Amino acid sequence: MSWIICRISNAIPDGSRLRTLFDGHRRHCLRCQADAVRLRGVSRDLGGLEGEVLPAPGGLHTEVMATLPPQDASNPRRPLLGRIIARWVTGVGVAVATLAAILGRRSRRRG
Amino acid sequence: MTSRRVQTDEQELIAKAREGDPDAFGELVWRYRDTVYTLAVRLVGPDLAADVAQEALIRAWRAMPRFRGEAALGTWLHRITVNTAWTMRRRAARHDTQQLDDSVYDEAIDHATSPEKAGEMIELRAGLRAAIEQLSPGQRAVLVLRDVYGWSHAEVSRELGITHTTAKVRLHRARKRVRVLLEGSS
Repeated sequence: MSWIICRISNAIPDGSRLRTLFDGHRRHCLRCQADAVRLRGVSRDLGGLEGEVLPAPGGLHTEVMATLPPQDASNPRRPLLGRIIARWVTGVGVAVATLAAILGRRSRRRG
Repeated sequence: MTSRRVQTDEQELIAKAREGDPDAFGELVWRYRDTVYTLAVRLVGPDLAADVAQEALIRAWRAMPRFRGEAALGTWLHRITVNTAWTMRRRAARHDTQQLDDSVYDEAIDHATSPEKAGEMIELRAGLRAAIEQLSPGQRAVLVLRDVYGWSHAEVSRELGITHTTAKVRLHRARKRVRVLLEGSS
């Protein structure tokens, strides 16, 4: 039974409120503690990659400088913001259409 | 040259670049091209990284008049690179099935590791890179930004346009997947 609790506990991300429910279990479970140590090890090893810098292709500087467009103070995040807004608008549109369809069907049944 | 001198020099270059001086911007591109490219490789793999880096630097040039120096230039460039990589990720997804060209790492410059540890570091890093490459684009981006570059959850979720919870869940799953992949390869 304990391994089920271990699996549930380890499936919940760090910092989640739900995880605090398993604090007691994790304090005493050697399996969970070993799991946490291994995950911290992965995180630490990944941190070591920050010092590694890969040389850019030789032509990158030349290509960038050869294709500089006029400055327009554009927001470099705009494409992503646009996509996020579009996704929200689509979601709201679908929700409104679904609601309208449900309400329409109900009113037809009553009528 | 002292670091203060370099910093002053950089501030001058930034000021000139903001006013539209391409030569000043070219010097900044020269200084930051490797770090921008490295981040791009980690986010989208080597096949698309040069395109992402080029696009990110061009976006940075266009946006230079908006740069107010609230963050370091390197941080700002990283944010633009993340954004660019994220918007180009559909193209990157097509490249995910391709094998990694490890030659891109052959000349990796490491400013933080002593020569004695180089051998074991090479092996560990190769394993980590292979594991990162097998993650989904969403998990890879969160893992790289949080664990490799030390961004906060707030920064990661803001720059990727995802919620805090999604960022935490992706990070947790990515770490577990990397751990499994590393254990499987050792």
